[in-house]
Order: sequence, then structure tokens, then C-alpha cells
Amino acid sequence: MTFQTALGLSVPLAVSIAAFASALGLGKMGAAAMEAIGRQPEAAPKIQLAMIIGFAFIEALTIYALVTMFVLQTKIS
Amino acid sequence: MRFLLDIVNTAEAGGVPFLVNLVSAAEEGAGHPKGPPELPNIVTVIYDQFSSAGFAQFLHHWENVFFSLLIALFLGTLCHFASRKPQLVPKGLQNFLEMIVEGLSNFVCGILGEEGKKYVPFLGTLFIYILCMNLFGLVPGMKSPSSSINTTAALAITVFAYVQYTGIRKLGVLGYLDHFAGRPRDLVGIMLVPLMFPLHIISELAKPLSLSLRLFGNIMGEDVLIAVFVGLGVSILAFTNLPLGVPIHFPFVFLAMLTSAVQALVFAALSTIYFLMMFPHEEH
Amino acid sequence: MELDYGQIVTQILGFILVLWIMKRFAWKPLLRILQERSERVKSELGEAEKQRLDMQKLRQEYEEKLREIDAEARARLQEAVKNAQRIASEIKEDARGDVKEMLGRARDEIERDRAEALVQLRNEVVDIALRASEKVLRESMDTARHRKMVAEFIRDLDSVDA
Repeated sequence: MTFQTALGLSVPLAVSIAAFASALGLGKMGAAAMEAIGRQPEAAPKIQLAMIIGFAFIEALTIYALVTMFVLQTKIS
Repeated sequence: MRFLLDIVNTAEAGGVPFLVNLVSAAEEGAGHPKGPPELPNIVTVIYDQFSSAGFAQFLHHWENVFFSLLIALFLGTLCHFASRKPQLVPKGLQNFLEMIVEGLSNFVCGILGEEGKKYVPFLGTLFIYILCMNLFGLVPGMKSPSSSINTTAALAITVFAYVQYTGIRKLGVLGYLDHFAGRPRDLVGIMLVPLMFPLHIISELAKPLSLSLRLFGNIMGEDVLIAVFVGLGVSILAFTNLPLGVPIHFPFVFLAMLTSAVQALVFAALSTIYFLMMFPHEEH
Repeated sequence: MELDYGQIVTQILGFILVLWIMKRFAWKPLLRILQERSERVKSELGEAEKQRLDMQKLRQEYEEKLREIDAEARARLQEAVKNAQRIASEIKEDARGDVKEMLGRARDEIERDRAEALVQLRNEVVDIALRASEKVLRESMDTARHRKMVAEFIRDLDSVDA
């Protein structure tokens, strides 16, 4: 197995694992935020802002994996 | 705006060796068939037509700066025309821009409080500039400058420098060092200083890294997604041998618009929060 | 390197499609928001102008009222001064009358006293005169007369006994 094969196998896997985990996190966060908005609709803008920033933090992890994929993609072929 | 562009230029010229190295690998592939797919834009068209001419090579090399300048020009013209004859009761373009500025001012002051008024021009420009850069990639023949890490790194480094400058200005040099040492007030705090100091420095340095990578990754990802779907649309009609395709990528344009807005908002919001963290607090 | 111009054409088609959808669904709400904002600003400006005018009017009214109050106060003050002067002169007048009355009464009393005193004096003079005349009479009555009188008396007594 050449290292290209290994990369070709592992890089998409890495991205998918990262996406899976951050999807779980995003789901949890979104659920909590929606609950909070449902409980306190007048605080919706503040909660939304905090939610979007939190999303950004979680999503950044997937983006790191994606960036890694872009970097390694050039090495595969 | 010019300030930002200067920073962009310096970053493009190799001001950020690490990040440039990191992504030059990715960028290298961009022009070649083996990289992530990228849609053609006017610069690549010019380069394709006059690949031997000097100006085409120059443009191709400074592609992202060219588009950044184009966006700056666009925004400058827009603002010039909107504010040329200010009216008391806003109409049309002036009304639109006033709404945006008002919203940004409310947003920044909502986080930073009254003294945030000073940072509204910087953060607001950041937001509008990034939003335009993100959305530019959706216009045919244009490219998002923010889909290159050099641009986003330049923006993030600008924010980083301004935040550190604000910290030193607001806290004083000693207060700034105290902030980095984790504000030791008792014996435990002093004993933890050797641990806290590198930790704070690393976290400070991680901020521009995460800012730039987040923006770059998102915009790059969305552009690649659209490019892949455009390629698919072209390959559907490949049998006709005409330069035609089915625009099956258009749902992703809406997704990209959403992502663009959210990423610009996130970049501005995080910058605002970094400013907030540098403000002196009573309790930490 | 060769470019796939089909991609550009496809992108343009997609862009037109997106623009059409945006115009169809997002343009009207945007215009409405802008219109609302414009109207809000206009109404706020109108409101501010109206408030300014109201304020001015109110201030004018207040100033007028203040001026009125000032004038009234001045008038009242003048009236009060006049009243006071009147009262003072009345009091003076009264006092003068009282003094005159008292003087008259005192003069009457003195008059009466003098009259009384005169009467008393006259009585006393009469008394003294009587006493003096008595003395004179007693001086002038001699023993003979005495005797005669005693004798008469005794005679009378005798007649009584009888």
C-alpha cells in the first residue's frame, strides 16, 4: 500500500469523522438554543448571536479537517 | 479599507511564511488539474488568452489582490454615491447603507458597550468587506479573495495586531503583562504564572490562526462545492459538445450566500469579542 | 492549460436563475423593510419637529403666564401698599378722634370737679359765715339777756308743768 492509497483512504474518513462529531455538537447546541429561545423569546437575538458564535467554534474543527484535506489532496495523485 | 489592503499586500508578498507555506500546497493545485476544482474567473480567462503577456502573468500572480482591490473599489464607489447628497429622510441607496451601518453599530455596541463606538468603523468595515469578498465568488467571472488563506490570514493578523495594541493602550504595559500572567492576586496565582503565561500566549496566537482558517475553509469549501456541481452540470450536457451546462448548482448558491453572511458575521463577532476580552474588567 | 468555458456559461445561467429567484422572493420584503425604515425616520423627524414646536409653544405660554403672574403680583403689591396707607391714615384719624374725645371728656370732668368744688366752697363759706355770725351773736348776747331768756325758759317750764 503506497502512502497515496493510505491518504486516499484516510483523508475523507478524517473529514467525515470530524463532520460527524461536530454535527453531534451542533445538534446539541442548536437544541439547547432553541429551547432557550422557546423559554425566553424576548432574548432571541442575544441567544442567536451566542449560538452562531458557538456554531463557528464547533464548525471550525470540521473546517480544520477540510483544510487538511485540501492540503493533502495535492499529495494523493 | 486601504489599511486592510496594505495588510493584504504584505501578507501576499510573503509576510506569513507559515500560513503561506501551509496553503501554497493547496494553492499550487488550484491552477493545475490535480488541485481542488476551481471555477474560471476573468483573470484566469485573461491568463488563458494571453498567457505569455507580462500583464496577464502579473494579474494571475496577484489574482486575489486584484479581486480585493476590485471589491474595495466597488465598496468605495457605492459608499461615495450613497453619501454624495445626504438627505435627512433617507431614500434608496442611502437608506440601505444607513440601515446596515445602524445595524452594525448596534451590534458592536451591544457587545462592547458605549465605548465600543470607537471600534464600529473598523469592525463594520471588516464585516462589510468580508461579506462582499465572500459573495463575490458567486458572481460569474469573479473569485472570492477570501477563498485564499493569504487574504483571510491578512485580515486575522490585522485584527490580532489591533487587539494587542488596544490591550496595551487600555491596560498599560504592566496591566497587559498582568493579563497575560492570568492576573495573579494570591500565592496560588503567582505559582501558576509560569503555566499561565505560555498558555495565554498560545491562546492569543491561536486566535488569528482559527479566525483565518475558519473563514478560508468555509469559503473555499463552498466555492469548491459550487465548482464541483458546475462541473457536473457541464458533464451532463457534454455529449452536445457545446460550452453549455445545466445550472444544477443553484441551490448551493443560496447555501453559499447563507454561509457567506454567517462567516462574515462570525468573523466580526469574534473580533469584537477579542476586543472585549482585552478591555479591563473588575472580575475576570 | 485550457479553460472550460462551459463552466462559465453554466455559472452565468445559474447566476441568472438565482437573481430571478431573489428578485421574485427577496426583493419585495427588502423594499418593504427599506420603505418602513424611511417612513419611520420621517415620522420620527416629524415627531421631533412637532415636539420641538410643542415645546416652544409651551414655553411661550409659560412665559406669558409668568409675565401675567408678575404683573398681577405687582398690582397686588401696589394695592396692598395703598391699602396699608389707607389703613394707616384711618388709624391716625381714629387716634386723633379718640384723643379729641378723651380731651373733651377730661375737660368735662375738670369742669364738673370745679363746679363741685365751687359748691363745696360756697357751702363752706356759708358755714364759716354762720359760725362767725354765731360767734358774733354769742359775743353780742349779754348776761341780762341770758337771764331773761333763762327766766323765760323757766316760765315756760312752769307752764308745761301746769
